[in-house]
Amino acid sequence: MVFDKNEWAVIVIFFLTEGTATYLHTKHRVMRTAEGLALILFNVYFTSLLEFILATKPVDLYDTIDRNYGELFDLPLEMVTYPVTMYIFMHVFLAWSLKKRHIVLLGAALLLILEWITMHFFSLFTYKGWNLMYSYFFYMFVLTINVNLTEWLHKRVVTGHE
Amino acid sequence: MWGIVLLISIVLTATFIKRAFSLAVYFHWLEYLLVTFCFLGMNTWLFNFYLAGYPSLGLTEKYLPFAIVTVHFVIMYPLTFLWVVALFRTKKSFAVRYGWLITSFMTR
Repeated sequence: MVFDKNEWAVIVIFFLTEGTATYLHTKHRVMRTAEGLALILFNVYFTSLLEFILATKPVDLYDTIDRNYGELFDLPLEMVTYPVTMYIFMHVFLAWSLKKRHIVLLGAALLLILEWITMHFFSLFTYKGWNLMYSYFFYMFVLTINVNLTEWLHKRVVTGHE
Repeated sequence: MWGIVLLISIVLTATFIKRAFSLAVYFHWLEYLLVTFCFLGMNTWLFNFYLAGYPSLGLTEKYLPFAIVTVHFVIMYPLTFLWVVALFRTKKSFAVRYGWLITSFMTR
């Protein structure tokens, strides 16, 4: 394994997202632990499913990190960083009582910028048939699902649905 | 041929999903969601990782077999773990619980 800038980027992003989520959950909690955990686990599944469909043969639109196949640093990226990032966005959505369309549009734009930074400066992704503009619509789709799931979960938890 | 297998797989998976809902009575609704997402997520990621490390499963390089593999390994098989957890929850005998648990792992 070549340990270079993209591995360092994964480590830094990992601690940044994990630290932010821990801080938000302990100091400014808006959702219960089980609720947040459900959201994170859902995103672990969603990430793995979409990575499986989009990044493996026969579709194979892009590579993550250095290789065309799985490697060690895929683990923190897919199992922690992506799901926890969604948790942070959903925290903002609930804490600031934003409208769904606002968090979807702004969140997708922010994620697009972050993806461009990681791709341009740290070579975290190698596009094969993918395009940066596709990512915007892809993030909109992912955020729409997450926002609706969060709203549904939060309503049920708050109303004490058994 | 592959098309028929895919169709059967989709019908089977739909049946599995419908039957899996009936297991919700053994859990708190949020607990049921957590367990389901956990099994689906872990299985999918591990299968993805396994497939990446062992490209001998060249079967998945064509669209129809890939769709079949997706339906089986990413949706249907992880859901079967719910039955095993329900057996633990309903306190079935030791042999039944662990028998199904080991069988589930072996068939993956």
